[in-house]
Amino acid sequence: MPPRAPLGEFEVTVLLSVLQLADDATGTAVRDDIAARTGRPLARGAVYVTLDRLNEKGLVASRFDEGSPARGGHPKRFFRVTPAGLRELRHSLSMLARMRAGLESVLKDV
Amino acid sequence: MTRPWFWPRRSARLARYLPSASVGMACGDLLEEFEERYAKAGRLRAEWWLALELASVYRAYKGSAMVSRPRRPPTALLQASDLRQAARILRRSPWYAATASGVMGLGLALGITVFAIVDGALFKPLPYPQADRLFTPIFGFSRLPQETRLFPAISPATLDAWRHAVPEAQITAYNSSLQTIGTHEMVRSARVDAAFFDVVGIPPAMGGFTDADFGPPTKIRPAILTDRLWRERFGGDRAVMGRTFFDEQETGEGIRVVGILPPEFVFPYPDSLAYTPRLLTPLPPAPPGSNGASLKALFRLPPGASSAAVSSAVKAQVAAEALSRPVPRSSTDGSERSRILREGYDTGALVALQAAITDRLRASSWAAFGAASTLLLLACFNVTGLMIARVRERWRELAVRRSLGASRLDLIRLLAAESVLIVGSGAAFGMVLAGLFLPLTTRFLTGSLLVLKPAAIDGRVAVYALLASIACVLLTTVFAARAAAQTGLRTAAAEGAGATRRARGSRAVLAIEIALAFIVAVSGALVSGSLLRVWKEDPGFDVRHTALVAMSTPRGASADDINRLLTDLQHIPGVVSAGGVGHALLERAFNGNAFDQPTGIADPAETGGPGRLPIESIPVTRGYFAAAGLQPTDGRVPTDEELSAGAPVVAVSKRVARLYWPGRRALGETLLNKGRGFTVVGVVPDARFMSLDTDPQGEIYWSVAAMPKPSISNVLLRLTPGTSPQTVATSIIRGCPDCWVRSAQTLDSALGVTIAQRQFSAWLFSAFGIAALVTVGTGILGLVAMTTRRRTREIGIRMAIGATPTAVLRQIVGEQLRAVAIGLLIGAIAATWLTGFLTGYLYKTTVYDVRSWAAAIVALFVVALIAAVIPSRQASRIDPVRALRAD
Repeated sequence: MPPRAPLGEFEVTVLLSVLQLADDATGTAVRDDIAARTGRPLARGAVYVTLDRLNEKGLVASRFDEGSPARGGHPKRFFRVTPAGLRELRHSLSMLARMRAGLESVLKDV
Repeated sequence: MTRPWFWPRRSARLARYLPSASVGMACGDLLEEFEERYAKAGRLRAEWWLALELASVYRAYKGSAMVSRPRRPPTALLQASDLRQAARILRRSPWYAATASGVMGLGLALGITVFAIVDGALFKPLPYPQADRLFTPIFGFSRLPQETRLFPAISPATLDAWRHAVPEAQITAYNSSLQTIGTHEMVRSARVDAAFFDVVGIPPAMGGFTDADFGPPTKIRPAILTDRLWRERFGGDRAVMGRTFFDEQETGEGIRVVGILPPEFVFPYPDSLAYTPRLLTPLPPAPPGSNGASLKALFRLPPGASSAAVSSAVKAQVAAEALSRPVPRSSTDGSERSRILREGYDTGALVALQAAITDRLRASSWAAFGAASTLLLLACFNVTGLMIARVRERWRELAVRRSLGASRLDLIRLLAAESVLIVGSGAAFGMVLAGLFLPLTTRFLTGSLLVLKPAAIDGRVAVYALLASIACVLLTTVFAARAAAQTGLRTAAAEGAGATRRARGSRAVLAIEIALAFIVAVSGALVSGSLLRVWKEDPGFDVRHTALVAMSTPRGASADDINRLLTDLQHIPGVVSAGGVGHALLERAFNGNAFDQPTGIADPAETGGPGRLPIESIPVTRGYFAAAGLQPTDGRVPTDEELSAGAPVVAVSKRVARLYWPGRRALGETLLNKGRGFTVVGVVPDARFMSLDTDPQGEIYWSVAAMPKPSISNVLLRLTPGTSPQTVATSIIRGCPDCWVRSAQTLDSALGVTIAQRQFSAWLFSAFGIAALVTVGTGILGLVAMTTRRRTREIGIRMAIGATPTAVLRQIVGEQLRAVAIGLLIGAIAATWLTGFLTGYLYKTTVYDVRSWAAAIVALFVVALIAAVIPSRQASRIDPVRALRAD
């Protein structure tokens, strides 16, 4: 099997956020989490479309719960990282780590 | 909970952009947060926030190629954007757009007009309640083919027999008449019996007859006015009800208005639709034992009654009557056909009123409809030709569109949109034009083409226009798309190569146009040529200042009564001479010959052996020869005294003299009538007694007074210039209240009525022919203008290497004329087959009439030449240097 295209930066960020949020990873929660941790405002659409793309690649899976009247009867959608997602994440992060090796003096305390 | 503004529309839009699993998530998340923000910051802020959020979601998903959002499938249906784009393109070429839609409009206008008339004539139901229950009797001859069917005049006795035989049917009887209103006015009227309104099913809008009105005739006759007469003569004033109009104060005779008919009422004549009565009076009861046939009948069958059963009852009755008729004495000689005709009809049937009317109209209606459709097709091909030329001119633009990602379907949709705009605006223009054409056309509609059902631009006509437009859009789009596809292929090849090959496609369309136009033009030339031939015919009568009054003397009138009447007529102011005819005149009727044919005369044309010639004997009264303007060519005409006394003398027409006594003088010969010898005293010119377009049969004029039962049915009057036939007719009615006056008109217009249908057809087909020439002319003009513009470079090269403008002109025009010649050839082949339908319209000629064909060919050729020369001249005058710079 040819190696899959590596994950994009935002995809890595979203996957990490889903892991952080464990069982509460809804679209809004992921956006708020990333915004809180990175300190930059984030477009809702960007999060949704990325979650959909990851879902399509099989890197995240989702489940729905009952819809509430406050949501107009629409169900809440919770995401979790699949084993394949975890594998891809590890692969991407290790790639980054290998690229980072030897640059500690330049990158300083990052 | 609070919903954001327009939430259903906004959520639906989300559903279009997002994968289905995410729609609920997005909607739910947004609603939840909207609620919170609404509670905290109010509606406006919350709405603002939502608008920004939604925009971010749309933007993200629109830009994402990975997410499979449901895309609009490629569609063959026209989009509003296609139409907008096409409108922009057409706005840049206003002349092209105007020409194409103008031609389309003209074609559609003629098509719509003719369809409205044909639809009224053939397809629309008659305007009576349960019109399918209305039937009319027809009589015929069991031993002759069907064309000799008649709408009979029947006697009160026959009517009673029918009423007795089929009690379940409602039967009404009516006849036509003339009626004076006041002292000077005379209008056509109908006398109807008590059952009339029940049978027709349309009661008067106001008033009506009472049972007492149908009793013995009174001096003041009750009358019901038609809506038209009421409005035109009385200005729609309701106060006219109950008013009495005296013919003459002293006698106390006149009419009293007792009712007014509704506007939609039309009189149900199955045979002579031109005869539309303006007022109705009660039909007086028949005197006992009367069996004069003067009534027309109309049946209404109750629902469920079988028309076949009633029809066979009618047939049985007619057959019984035929058997009881005495066999004419002279039936032992003469041809089979004339013997059958003399013996009278012997079979009958009941046919639906609708069928009785449409059967007569079918052939002429279809011919007119066919010609109009050909013209419409011609207009379509014209637009097609223009569109093809334009597509080829626009090949660069189309190629750019293709390279920018437009699919072939997109281009076809664009072409279809252009076609929709051109044809659509043409159709709108055509509807407006048709609205103007239709009243003009119906004014010219006379005789049997005038229909019971008024022609109108209605829903059915609109549907026809829509269907015709759709067909035209399809035709133009298919051809233009084909041209575009070929152009697409050629852009790959060297540019400029095959410019002439491209022109070939346009010339094929041109040839088709010419072929279609030729069929229409040759039809127009044939039909109008026939009318000219009829017009040139000499009626035999002197028509100047002559009037024809259709009138009958009362039954039982003696020869003296008739002579007295004629003498009285001669004393009416304005009358120079008056002569009665005991014979149908200009009614397309052949009444036979009371004289024995001299022995030994053969008529090979009719019988193939010795037989009886179709010669008529015509009883006339004193004053006839002076009134008809017949001067003797040999001998003299019978004198007034001889005619009044019933002297045994006759005048014969030239044809009779030639046929009966070939190579001899007719004067002094004797003709036998029931054994009585009549001496020929003179020869007069032949006269057209049946119609202007029926050859003279040959006439033997003898005295009405010599008839066993003297009677007259027409009076010819020579008037002083300026005297109107109507005024004289009024005086006749006043002087002879018992006479039955049916109509009064000039002899000229009576002759015109006999060829009214021919005149209308000629008018119609000439209009088609002219429209075809105009259409094909504009088509060629546009086509040549476009092709030459496209070939500017080629023309420039030719001129740069030494071609003179004349040579260029000759080349371009020559190319077009080759297409014209091919078109004429195709058209001629098609026309030999198609014009066969016109046989019935032709007079003394065949569909291969050389002069008509030559006229059509020359007209088309000249139009094509002019249309090709105008733009070509312009092209041949260009400066070669500028031409070479052109693309």
